[in-house]
Amino acid sequence: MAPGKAEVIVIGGGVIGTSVAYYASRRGYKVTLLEKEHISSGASGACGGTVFMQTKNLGRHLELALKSAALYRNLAEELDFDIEYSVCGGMIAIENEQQAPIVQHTVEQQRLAGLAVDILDIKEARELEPMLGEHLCGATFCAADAIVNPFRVNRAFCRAAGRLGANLRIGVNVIDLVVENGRVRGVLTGDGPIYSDCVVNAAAIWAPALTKKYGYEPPITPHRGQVLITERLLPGTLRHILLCGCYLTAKHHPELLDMKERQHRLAAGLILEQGTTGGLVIGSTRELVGVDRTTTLDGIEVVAEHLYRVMPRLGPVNVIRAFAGLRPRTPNGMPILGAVESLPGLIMAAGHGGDGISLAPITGQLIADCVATMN
Amino acid sequence: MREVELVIVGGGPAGLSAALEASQAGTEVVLIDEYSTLGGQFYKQVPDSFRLRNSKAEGEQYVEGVELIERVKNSKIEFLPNTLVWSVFPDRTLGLYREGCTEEVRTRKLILAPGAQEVPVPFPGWTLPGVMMGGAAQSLLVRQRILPGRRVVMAGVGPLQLKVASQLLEAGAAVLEILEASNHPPVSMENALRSMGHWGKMREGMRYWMTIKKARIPFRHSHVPVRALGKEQLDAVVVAQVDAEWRVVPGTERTLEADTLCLSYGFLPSLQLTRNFGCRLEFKPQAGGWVTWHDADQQTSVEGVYVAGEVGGIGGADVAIEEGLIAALAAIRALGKAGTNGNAKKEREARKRLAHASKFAEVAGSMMHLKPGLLDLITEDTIICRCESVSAGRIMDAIGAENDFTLRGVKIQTRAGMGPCQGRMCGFVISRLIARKQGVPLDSILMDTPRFPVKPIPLKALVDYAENK
Amino acid sequence: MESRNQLPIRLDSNVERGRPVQIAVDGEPIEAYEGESLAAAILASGRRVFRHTHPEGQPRGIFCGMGVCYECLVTVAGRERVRACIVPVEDGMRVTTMIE
Repeated sequence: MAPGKAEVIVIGGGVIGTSVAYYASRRGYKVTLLEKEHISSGASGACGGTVFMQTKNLGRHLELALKSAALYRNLAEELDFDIEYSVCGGMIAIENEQQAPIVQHTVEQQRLAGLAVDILDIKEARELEPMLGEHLCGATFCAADAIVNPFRVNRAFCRAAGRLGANLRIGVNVIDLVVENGRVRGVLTGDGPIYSDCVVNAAAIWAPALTKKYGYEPPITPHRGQVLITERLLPGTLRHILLCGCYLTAKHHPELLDMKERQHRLAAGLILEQGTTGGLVIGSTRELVGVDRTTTLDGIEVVAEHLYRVMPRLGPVNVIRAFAGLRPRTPNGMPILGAVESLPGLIMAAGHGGDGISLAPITGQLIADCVATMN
Repeated sequence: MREVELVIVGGGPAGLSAALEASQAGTEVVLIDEYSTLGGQFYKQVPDSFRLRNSKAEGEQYVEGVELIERVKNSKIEFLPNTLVWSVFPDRTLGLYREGCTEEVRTRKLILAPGAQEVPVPFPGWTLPGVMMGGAAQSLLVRQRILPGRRVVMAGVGPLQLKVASQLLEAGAAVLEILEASNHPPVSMENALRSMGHWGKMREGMRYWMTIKKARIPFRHSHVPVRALGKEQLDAVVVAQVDAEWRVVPGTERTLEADTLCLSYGFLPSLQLTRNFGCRLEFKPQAGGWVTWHDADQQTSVEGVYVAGEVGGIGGADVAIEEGLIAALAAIRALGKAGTNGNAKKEREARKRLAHASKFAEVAGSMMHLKPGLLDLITEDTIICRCESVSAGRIMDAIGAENDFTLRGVKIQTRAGMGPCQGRMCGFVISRLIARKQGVPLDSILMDTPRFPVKPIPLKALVDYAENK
Repeated sequence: MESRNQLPIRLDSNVERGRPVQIAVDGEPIEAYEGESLAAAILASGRRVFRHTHPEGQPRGIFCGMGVCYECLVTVAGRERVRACIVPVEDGMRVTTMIE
């Protein structure tokens, strides 16, 4: 088969890859997107749709998230595809007195950095979100937090890129990079080589495997997140996206965690949303198990327990499904974005951890900038 | 955690047969069923709190069921009714949910006899209240002693609907017409049975046929329902003639005013438990499509896990009974229970009966083969995924979008299969729509990864489960 | 076929039901008997529509009758949403036909 040539190659058909393909195509580049299985076959098809500002580290992380949120606001119109985006607001439930000072401190810092977040007592919190348990201490509220449909985002970017001339090659596996004299010159696929002086690695948990042998190993490790889905509930059962305060404790003061051993081992933190059709999406564990996507009893129990602690009224709700996604996490929680100095021709766009959905738009835009710089 | 010798899941003919045999040999048997009474779909029984004045008047099959259930009650078999097996684990631990409580049981040997479901055949209006499976109408009549409707149209393929029609007639319903999709008049089934020496079945079939003839119910072969009409419930059914491939013959549509439409298009094995165990499947088009593979001893590809009855291939009650017996004998042997005299003979005779019963099953299977024309009944707006109200139009758009021809791809794009029935009502048709659009054989369409819960359970049950360990 | 239309929904040829129990559907007390399925009691009360889908508003009722289709879902006070065809009636049950 005659070797192909492309202006820009994007490896990976998840939300990051398709976002990059879209923004780069919009800049006029001829993009070839290579996806080994299908759109949304990886973590982008096994996740929730929360777009949290509150969870971002202050500084660059939050900055990216806010820019991404700004892009989300007009995205449905721009892509001509309903992505079910809604700025519903988000709350972090403060479960006990131990979490309170940590949350307080975090919120103070966020306010200083310009993110508007309030702390509510439990009475006020329950007025906004009636399902919250009465025994909780309170909750934060951030109006900028939003929700979106991740499968539709992925599909929307993909189709828009296609309309702008991107070549979407689904079912094509990238086996290796083509590197000559220390420069990336393209990729080797199952169907033969494709040459390009600009290759974007958006292969998530598979990203390091491609570059390792060339001396560059981005610190991306798969973390399994197990998620539960419930039957449809009346719209408005949950009005916001939600997190539990132990997520913040785990982040800033892990030594204070008063958790049963199993919850600690599975690093489970509650993250919760109600989808457009009414089912709740309840996550999540964070486990180091390699590339194992099986759901386990421990995993679904620990997530169920956590939800029940925060919202006991949801006890009778039927859980209809469980699944797991492998999130590409980096040690500092920041995605790896930009040209790789040691491998000219290669641009990284991977390692978004659990922030793939929230940061997809800004990633696409930034990487398109990067592509322009490179060319 | 509770450890037992043998758990049998499913209290229909296969499960009852297996339980009685194993228990007789002194095995500790726990028999589990999701329903409140034993008997499964074949030996439907009235609730325990109802009393039949004369059970013999219910017919041979009912009485057979009563006798088997009586024998279970008088044995050491522990029956767990209203119990859902919601999770399974490689060491043969089962997660159970019953009446608000959860528990675990680990078993040395396991016989899965969960049976089958009826084939869901979509067409415009099929979601209207009043349109139901033939088995649903039968359950209402036989179990609950409720008339499912007053003006009934029967549709489907094969002999079951003759039985249900005859039961409806005896209960006083007006059966307007019986539509048989194939061009086999019932008499050809009878010929086949007679030629194979299945006298009992033949007599039974003739009885139903006589009831229907006596009541002058029109029996129309090569006819199918094409549309169900009504606003809040079924008011009328549009029926039409079909050709040999079951495609509608234009100009033959007629409208029947009816409040009930029964669909009996055959059976599909309930594979969720065996798939969750990782049991190998095989594709047998005449036995319901994908079935659980098993060896001659009814053992699956997973050691210690046996199957009996429909889950290993649609074969009917006679096959199920013998398979249950054989599975029990094999499980007892594997448990090292002292071989009782006569087991070898018992097994030989069971295998002979199984071979005989299997021949009938094969003939019935081939006569109940669904032809491709049925898919043509589906229009753009026909709901395919009932749980999520996903139309055929949306599903067809999703098939092959971005080169994705997988069931999972359709699911992610449209939500089809994401509801509480977990794809039990839509998977059958969506696989066929994919195969047809892509031009590939049906057995190349892979099902999505099996996961638990095998059926929905409340959040609190998961929490209780964790706490009780 | 006039007489057919007067047929009671509950048949009593050859059967004596269990003792009557008190249940309510959408606030209305209905006739029910121990051991009956909730679906049977609801149907016998003249109701065929068990719920409406959201947001399409499509009426749904009994379909498979054996607990695999999840169409006959109703809410029982104090419990999860249940399949009416599988669950037996209990004294004091308060049922609402679902509006999803």
